Amino acid sequence: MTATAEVLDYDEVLDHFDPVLGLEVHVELNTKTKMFCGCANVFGGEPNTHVCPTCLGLPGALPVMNARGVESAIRIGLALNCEIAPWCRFARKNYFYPDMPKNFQTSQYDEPIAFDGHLDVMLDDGEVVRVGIERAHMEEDTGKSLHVGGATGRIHGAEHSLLDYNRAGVPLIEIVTKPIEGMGQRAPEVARAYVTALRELMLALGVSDVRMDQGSMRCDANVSLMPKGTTEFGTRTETKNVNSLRSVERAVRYEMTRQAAVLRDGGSITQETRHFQEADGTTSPGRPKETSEDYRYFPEPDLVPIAPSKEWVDELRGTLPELPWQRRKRIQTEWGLTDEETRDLFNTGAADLVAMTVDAGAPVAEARSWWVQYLTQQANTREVELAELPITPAQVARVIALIGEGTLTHKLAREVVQGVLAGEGDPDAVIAARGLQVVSDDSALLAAVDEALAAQPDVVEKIKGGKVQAAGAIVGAVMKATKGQADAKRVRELILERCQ
Amino acid sequence: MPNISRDEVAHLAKLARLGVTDEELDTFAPQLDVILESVAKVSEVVGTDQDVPPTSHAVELTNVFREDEVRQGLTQEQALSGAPAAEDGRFRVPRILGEEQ
Amino acid sequence: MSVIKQTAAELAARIHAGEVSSVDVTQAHLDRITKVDDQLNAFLHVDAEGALAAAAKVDADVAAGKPLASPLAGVPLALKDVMTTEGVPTTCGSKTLEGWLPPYDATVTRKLREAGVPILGKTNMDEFAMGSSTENSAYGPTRNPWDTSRIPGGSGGGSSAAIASFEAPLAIGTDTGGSIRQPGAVTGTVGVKPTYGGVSRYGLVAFSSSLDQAGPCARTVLDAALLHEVIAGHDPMDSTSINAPVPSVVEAAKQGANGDLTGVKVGVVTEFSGEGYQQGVLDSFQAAVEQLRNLGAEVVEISCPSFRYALPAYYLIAPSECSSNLARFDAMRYGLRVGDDGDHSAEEVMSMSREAGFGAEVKRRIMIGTYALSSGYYDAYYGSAQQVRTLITRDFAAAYEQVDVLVSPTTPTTAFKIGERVDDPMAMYLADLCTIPANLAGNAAMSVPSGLAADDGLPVGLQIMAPALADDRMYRVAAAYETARDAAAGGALINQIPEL
Repeated sequence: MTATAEVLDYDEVLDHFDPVLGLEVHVELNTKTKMFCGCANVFGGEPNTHVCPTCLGLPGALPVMNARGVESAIRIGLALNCEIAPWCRFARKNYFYPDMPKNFQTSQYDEPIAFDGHLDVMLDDGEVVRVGIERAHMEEDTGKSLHVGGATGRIHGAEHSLLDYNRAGVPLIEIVTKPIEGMGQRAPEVARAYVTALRELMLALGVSDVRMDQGSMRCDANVSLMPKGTTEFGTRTETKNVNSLRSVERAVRYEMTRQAAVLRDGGSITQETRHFQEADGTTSPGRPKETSEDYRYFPEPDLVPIAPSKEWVDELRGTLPELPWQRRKRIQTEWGLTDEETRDLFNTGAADLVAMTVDAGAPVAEARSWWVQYLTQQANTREVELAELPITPAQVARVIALIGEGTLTHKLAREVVQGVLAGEGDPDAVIAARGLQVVSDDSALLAAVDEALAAQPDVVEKIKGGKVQAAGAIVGAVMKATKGQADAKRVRELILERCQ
Repeated sequence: MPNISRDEVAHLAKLARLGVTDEELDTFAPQLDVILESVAKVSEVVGTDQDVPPTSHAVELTNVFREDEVRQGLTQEQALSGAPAAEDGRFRVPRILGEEQ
Repeated sequence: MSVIKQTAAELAARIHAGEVSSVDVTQAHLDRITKVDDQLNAFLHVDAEGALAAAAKVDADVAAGKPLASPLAGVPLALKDVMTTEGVPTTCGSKTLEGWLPPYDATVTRKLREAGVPILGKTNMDEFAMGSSTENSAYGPTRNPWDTSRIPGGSGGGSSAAIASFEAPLAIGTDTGGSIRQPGAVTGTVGVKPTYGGVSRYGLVAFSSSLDQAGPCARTVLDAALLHEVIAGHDPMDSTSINAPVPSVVEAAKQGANGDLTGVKVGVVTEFSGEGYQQGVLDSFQAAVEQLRNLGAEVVEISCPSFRYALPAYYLIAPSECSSNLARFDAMRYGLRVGDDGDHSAEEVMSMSREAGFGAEVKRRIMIGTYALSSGYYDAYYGSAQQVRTLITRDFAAAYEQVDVLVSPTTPTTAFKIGERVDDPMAMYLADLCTIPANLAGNAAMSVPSGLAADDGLPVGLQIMAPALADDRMYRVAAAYETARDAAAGGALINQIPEL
């Protein structure tokens, strides 16, 4: 086996094949306690300090379902437009692995709590794609292994391993898409956009921290190719370890090009688990399994079935916050935005900030313009997220108000904002400290106007001769003399008065 | 239906992570065969009656939940008290060959 | 009369009246264990210190005139080694748990401690409760005090032998397919399997979760009832625990002792006779039925056709669940570990440890369960067995529309010789023929001594079964029968046991 598999040029892949994706996303719920015991559900901590007989799998210990975990699962299902099962159970998925205390995972098998839904996902160009949701089911997380010895700290070559079960039993929701077909070259982008949308949804629901870097959201990407013109799915691979939004897109793209190269050379795809390498964006095969998997699922006898009543489901439906795409639609209508404007608003991550700026009294158009254009540029220059800029919506609203009342020109306003971003304080403090006020005192302006008129007698003649537009040259000179702090409109009026 | 071979017993033992000796395979294969032959008659009684739902739980309870409240668990020392080997507050186990699932 | 020959009810009355101290009563039983247990091997671990400390506390309460923790405060007890006891060895009769000190108490253990019941020690059992003779213990078989060449029944042979031999007035057993009732029958003692969900399973090391149920072992029906009320009740740590008031079994036992069963309808299960049933057992059963009739009960014959499939269904469901429940014994977190020499992987160490730690019967059942749950076989085996369970539940329901209780022999034969059936698993399994249906349906059932078989002079048990949550009904019938039988026979059956 070679270390770097041969890949096919991306365009060539699409000339011959249609990609089919299936995404499995695990979301760790942010409940206070684990799914089946009262141990704290917290990230990190001293090893084996958030454990009890149940999550350690001690002989005799029993599980009891966390009500909040089930509620979160139902709310996620509802938000994904799923059917909520009127009756479902947990099952045991039996396999041996040292990080799993009971050597079975308490999971849902053929009776998921939520099934048959969809999530609308917006791509970069504003196109909306509907991704079908096969199911969302509840399960529990495993412990964590630390591999000691060997060069890499990885599992291979390790001398022994150390196990910490603080994470064992943390509630997980696994969300599985239906096959995503017909996306062509956009398949990788769709994968990223889907996971992004799912992440936003979880945040809006408040059910998870969805930190991909900490593993509270994990994505497995199933990819297969089918030759153009055929309808039967090809053999798929499942790429694990995809730990950022960008990686989702890269992993899918890489698998497409790798599989295409294999197929073009007359080879066949092995159904296997592959691992994504963050460093070079490739995937590598996992260790081949000794025996074929046979999880021997059966209904978990230590837990009783879940039968959510219609009343309970309706009550939970009532607790759903405005969901990201609903909000998007509402904002577009309320603010009268075009599709493109809406896309820019959300793609820059400005929507919340604009809404807060509007709440602070600014008109929508100005608020949007500041955040989507000037401040987005500032964020890009500084390589930070828009929301991380050290300026608040209230401060932006104040700047907009000062423009409105004529205290600032747009140019001055940008200087004020720069001052705020530089940590010089509130807009008013920056104005005071930098002396940026618009000169609105006519006597001060008249002196500058008279000086400029005296310096350009030929222009004065032109104006007096009726060529009013020639006043522009004088305005420029006055503005220069007042370092831009004059109100250009007033300056023009004064020039015309003097030349009558 | 059943006719359990030594190979099948070996496969079952592997699935169940049970080491078995050759002699055990010789004893277990005919024993399992007799037992499975005998219990297989469960399928005849319901074979004709499709209207029988399976019973997984003896009591008909549903929706037994626990409030999402933290409960005192074990200390690290208690957790590790039965461990065959421990290191740095963790359970020490031999090197793991398989992959996580 | 010697203290050890007294019933729990008598001991409780004398201790609470200050006539005898709990320490003296407890010490007398510890002395008895020292004297006779070499011949029986009923105890795997004796906790003299713990028992005497608990006894001393009760004595202090009595002396101080404080209210007593329970009606059984101060009366010592033997606990089946399948219940976890914090800091006290719990082996389940298995080599894999040799030396394991649980860091927590089972709910039953906690309730006993809170009730002021001194726990003398842990009793021998078939490994992980799998067996009908206690020959499957890794620590050697327990012997029947009626004839030490014979088995004391199983899996709870240790508990029943302990009370039959006056090592303890009370004991706790667990009953998955008859493991309380069958040992009760063959040792001439009372054994009760309460309604499934009536007694918490938290801390009961699981064999088959949907069938396991802990219950009392005693020498009289009233003693069993007193213990029943101490250990029963809802437990939020066990999802399958029934949240309903505990049936008033003590009151029912006292009422029954009046000896009037007028208006009570008793059904004789016709399936439990014929081939395979010992003549002495059938004769004793007929006499018992006659006795019930004399007490005023109306006796009718009831056919439960599905009961014929109970044994095969049980020997699929129990092994399936056990194959999963026992997966946790993998040498990673607790228990026996072999082969950890730096050369073997975790997977190899798991296999080697399980091979070394489990006995033949446990291995057989794990493999049968693994087979029954595997893909391709699930429907025919596990699935069908679960359907049989439904049919059996329906048969019971139909029967209980006609009668209040059902009766049968507890076992087809009296105690067989040690070694007689060890190489023939199917013959061994037949010992549970009559007891299994109640487990599959989750109903209540008990065994009460019905005399000695005329053909071999060994004890025979009468099984009385009642619907779920109607445990009190069977206690009433059992107490009435016990009173009448003892009166007719000139004393309790246990008085006829040979001196050890």
